[in-house]
Formats: sequence, structure tokens, C-alpha cells
Amino acid sequence: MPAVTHGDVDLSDSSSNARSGALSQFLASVEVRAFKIAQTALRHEDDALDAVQDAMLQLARAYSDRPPEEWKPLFYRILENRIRDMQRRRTVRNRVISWLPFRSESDEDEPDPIAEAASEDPLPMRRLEIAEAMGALEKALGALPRRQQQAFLLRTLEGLDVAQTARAMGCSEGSVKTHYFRALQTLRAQLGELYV
Amino acid sequence: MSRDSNGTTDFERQLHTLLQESVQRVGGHARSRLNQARHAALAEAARRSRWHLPLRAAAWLQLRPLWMPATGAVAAAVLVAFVLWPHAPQAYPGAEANPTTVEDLDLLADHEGMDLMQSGDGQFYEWAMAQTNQRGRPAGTGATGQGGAPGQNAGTDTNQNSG
Repeated sequence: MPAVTHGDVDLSDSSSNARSGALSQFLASVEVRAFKIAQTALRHEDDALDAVQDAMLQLARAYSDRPPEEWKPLFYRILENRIRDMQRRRTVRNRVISWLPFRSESDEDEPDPIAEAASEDPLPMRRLEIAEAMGALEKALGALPRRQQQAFLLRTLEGLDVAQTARAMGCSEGSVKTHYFRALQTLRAQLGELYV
Repeated sequence: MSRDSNGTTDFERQLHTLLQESVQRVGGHARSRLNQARHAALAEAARRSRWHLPLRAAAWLQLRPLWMPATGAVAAAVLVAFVLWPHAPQAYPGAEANPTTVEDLDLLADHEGMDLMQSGDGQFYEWAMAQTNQRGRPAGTGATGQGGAPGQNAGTDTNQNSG
């Protein structure tokens, strides 16, 4: 493989390795939060994992040569598109299934007996409270309109500022503020003051 | 509702804490799959960077607008010529050999000619010689050949001479 060299130093390999390291660090820093965002939108763990994986691959394939400071908005833009595609596909699938005369309940809806089994390790009261509050929050988040949900999660969970959120959502900063404010209003109305 | 210096309310801070807690509780299965996905993405990026070195990429991008239409046009022309070209019936291999060779083969294969040559009595040659000599003589010598139709030949000769 021919490489651009300068003296004895292989510049292309060194810059490529540095970029690969930076990309690895970036993906490791966002992957779990991205998974939570996708899971909140899709309400399905495997679908959420698929969406995050596709977004990672697409970022690496098409935008890895972009400046690293652009990666985060691009990554969440890709992820949002993937989530929307999955939601549309699921809507179509559900419509088709609803027309089938002999449909049965999916196995995925059946509870996993291992997951449902009682643990011998009793949850401390504190953890129980957090788990309950978390469940209520996830339910309320799932009921939000998609754009509000996206604006809220990118701002609160991922920590993007308004400008980055606007780039990730493909809208104006004013729209981000509006979506975020309405999301907060709805959550406050449903959850009240949390005690965490 | 109190706000901090960033304008964040207590409610927002509580939500943030809850969400961070939910991230901490993501299970091992999901983390394992995310790890695999990350490595797959990095492999994809490495594969892509191998094929997109600056010089190679620049040359490719500069030439691509030129050679793509040209290559397509040439390929289309070749295809059209192949389809529309009037195909002549193909000769069998070896049919274009020297005809002399074929005649020699015919002579060798002719058993009748070989028998005539091998008979040894030379009657055919004597007859053929007499026919030739008879045509060369003047009219009225009354020579007759062996076999054939000597009268007809003589009459023909007479008519030719009298005329």
C-alpha cells in the first residue's frame, strides 16, 4: 500500500491511527447513552441496539474523516434517521399483521421467566425508589411526541447545547428551545417533583 | 423552583440524575453488543481509510468524471456492434485449403484411373494416339481408328475440307 511519507515517518499511518483512536474513544463515550435514547424511542432493546450499530457504521463509513467536533451531532442525526426508519417499518408491519385473520401474540411479549424470577438479593429501599422513579420517567418520556422526546434527551442525557441539538435534529435553535420547553412542561405535569 | 447559575431547575437536575442512573444500569448483554458494534465500525473506518489515501482519492475523483462516460460509451458501442453485425456463415476449419491438394486427393482416390494405368497393355493410349493422328491427316486417307465412330470423324473432316 503506497503511503505518503515524510522522511522516515509514515504520516498517513500515524494520522490514521490517531483518527481511529479518536473515533473509538468517541463511540465508546456515546454508545450507552445513544442506546438509551434509541430504546426510549423504539421501546425494544434489540431494535435499539441495531439502530445504534447502524449509526456507528454509517458514521465510520461516511464521516470518519470529518473533524471530531462534528461527530456528535452527525452521529445523533444518523441515529435519529435510523430510529425513524425503524418506526415506519414497524408501523407498516403492525398494519399488515392487524389484517391477518389468524394472528397470535408474539413470543417477545411473553415475560422472560429468568428475568421475572425473584432475586435473593433484596433491593435496598433507595434503589427501589430510584427504580420506580425511573420507570415513571421512561413511561412519560415514551409518551412524549418524538421531537420533544429527542430534544429533551439530547439536551438532558447527552448534554448537547442548543446549537448542537439543532444540528442533530436538523432544525433551528428556536425549535429546539420550544420542543425542550414543552417536553419539560409535560414531564412536570405527569411526574410532579421527583425525590431522587 | 430554584435555578442554578446555568438556569437549570431542580426538576431538570433530578431528571438528569435519573437518566444517568438508567444509563449505569444498562445490562451486560447490551454493553457487549455495543462493544461489538463499535469494533465493527472501527474496522469499517480502517478499511475505508486504506482505500481513501489522499493521493489515490484525488486521482480517482479527478479521473472519474472523465473515464466513466467514456468507458460506458465504448462498452455500449461494442455491444451494439456485436448485436447488429451481419454474421457470415462460418466455414469449416480446413475448407480453405489449396484446391490443388484436393485434386491430387481425387486422383489418388480414383481406383478406375489407377487400374487403367496398371493394366500394362496400353490399349487406351494407342487408341488415343490414333485419334490424334487421324485428326492431323488430310482428308480422304480413309484411316480408321480403333473403336469409337471413325465414319463420323471422316465425314466431319471431309465436310470441313470441302468447305
